[in-house]
Amino acid sequence: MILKVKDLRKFYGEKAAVDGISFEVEKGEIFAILGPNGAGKTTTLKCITGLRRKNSGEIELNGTFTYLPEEKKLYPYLRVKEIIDLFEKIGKDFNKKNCLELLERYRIDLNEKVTNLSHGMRTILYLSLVFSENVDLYILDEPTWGLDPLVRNEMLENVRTLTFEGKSVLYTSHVLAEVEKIADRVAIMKEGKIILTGSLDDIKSSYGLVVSKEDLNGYLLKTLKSGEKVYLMKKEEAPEGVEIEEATFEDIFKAIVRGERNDR
Amino acid sequence: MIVKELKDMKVRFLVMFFLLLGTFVLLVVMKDYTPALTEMLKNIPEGFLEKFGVTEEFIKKLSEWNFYIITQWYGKNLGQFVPILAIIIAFPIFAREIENETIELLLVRLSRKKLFIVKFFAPLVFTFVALFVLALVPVPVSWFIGEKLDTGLVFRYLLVEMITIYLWFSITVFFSVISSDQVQPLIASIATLAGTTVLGGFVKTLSTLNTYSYVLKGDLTLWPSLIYTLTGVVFTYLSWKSFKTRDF
Repeated sequence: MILKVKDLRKFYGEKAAVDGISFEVEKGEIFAILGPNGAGKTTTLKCITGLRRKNSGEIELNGTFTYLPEEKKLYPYLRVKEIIDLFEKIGKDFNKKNCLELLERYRIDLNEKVTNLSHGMRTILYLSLVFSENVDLYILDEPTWGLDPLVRNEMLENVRTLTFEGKSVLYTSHVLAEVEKIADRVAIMKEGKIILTGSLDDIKSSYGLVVSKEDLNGYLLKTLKSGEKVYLMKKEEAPEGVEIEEATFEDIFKAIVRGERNDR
Repeated sequence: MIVKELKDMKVRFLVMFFLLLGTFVLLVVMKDYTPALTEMLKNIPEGFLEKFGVTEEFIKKLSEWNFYIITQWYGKNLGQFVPILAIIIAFPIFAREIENETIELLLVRLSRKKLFIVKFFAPLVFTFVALFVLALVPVPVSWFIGEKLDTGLVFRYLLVEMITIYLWFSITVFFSVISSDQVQPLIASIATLAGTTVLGGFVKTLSTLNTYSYVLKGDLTLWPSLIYTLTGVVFTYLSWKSFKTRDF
């Protein structure tokens, strides 16, 4: 186990941004945290990296880590090559050659000032810098936001490649399709709490959709024009005799995050 | 990392340095005009200039190189700029990284302690270097033009200016650490400088607050020097404590 988070809490004043969450990231695993805006994903990552002080709980990190922040802010007045020089000095076991190869692949001019790079190019630059650090855990906050689909797929491939080398990845994303594509396990957060966690296959196989006119013990996904309601519920908790449809991961996410829990 | 810090402060540093160096050059050039100034001042009604401390003796003495440099460079131009120099160099040190969120990039890769040490001391050392050059430049110039300068007094002024730089640098860094943008520490530091100068100037019991009376007189006496140095140490400590525990 590379990372263990136990009962982590972080308050901003009275409000709990992270409210007693626990999870573990295993070696060689990609663990994704999903959730709507304000769910507490970024705060969780910042507590793990030490950028924010936790109020309580335990964070056990067994190895080195690096972090890609959500905003991907770099020094606008520095040139790309100067940023690389900075990472050579402060980066964690930084591989300059690898970084230069990545930047050449995406045709990022080393003499260009960061301020002249588009958001996507800045993200590529930051990702290239982070991928060129040799650490045990890569903590990536929305790593593919703002990238075109081709580059996004290549970057996801790079994320996957990290795990082939025994590295672990903890990342957040809004894009469910990409999470389905690469994550080994996920945690869905809402209002500072982890609502659901597990491997994608386990989650998908244990939940199903049930259409009913009656109120059921599950997450309300939607109400049909006919007045019938579609519930996401654990297959084992579904009433006998009802038809259970397979739920996509998007259905599960939507129902849990946006739906109302109906505990009869 | 130190190279990056130098790049960060390059513009501010060079502007302030050459502005002050230019002021000194101008001051040296103006020296030749002091006899003409003396003649001109004779036409001013008697008693008017005395109100501002400009006596006939003072005007007479201005034509002496040593008196002219000590009063006009150390006791006026450079001395007045010393707290401003410290504030201009220090205000964005942390606030800019916090405002631009680049502090995250650094904190993930460096310990808070190391980052604080580099960010605090690298600009401070370079400000001292600038001060050394600016405070000592009259010495070789005096030698070059064959004039005498009281070097003992020059070094006394240098020490007083170093203490003043450290004091205002540490106060401004503290504001820089606790702020979320660059404007806040600049305004807070200048307001503090103005407030303490006015208070110290008008209220006799609070005269120690007026750092200008200390730096312009070159008054290297024990208590003010000790009080200012210790205040600088306290603000350095407060800056570190705030930086150590702050959320980013």
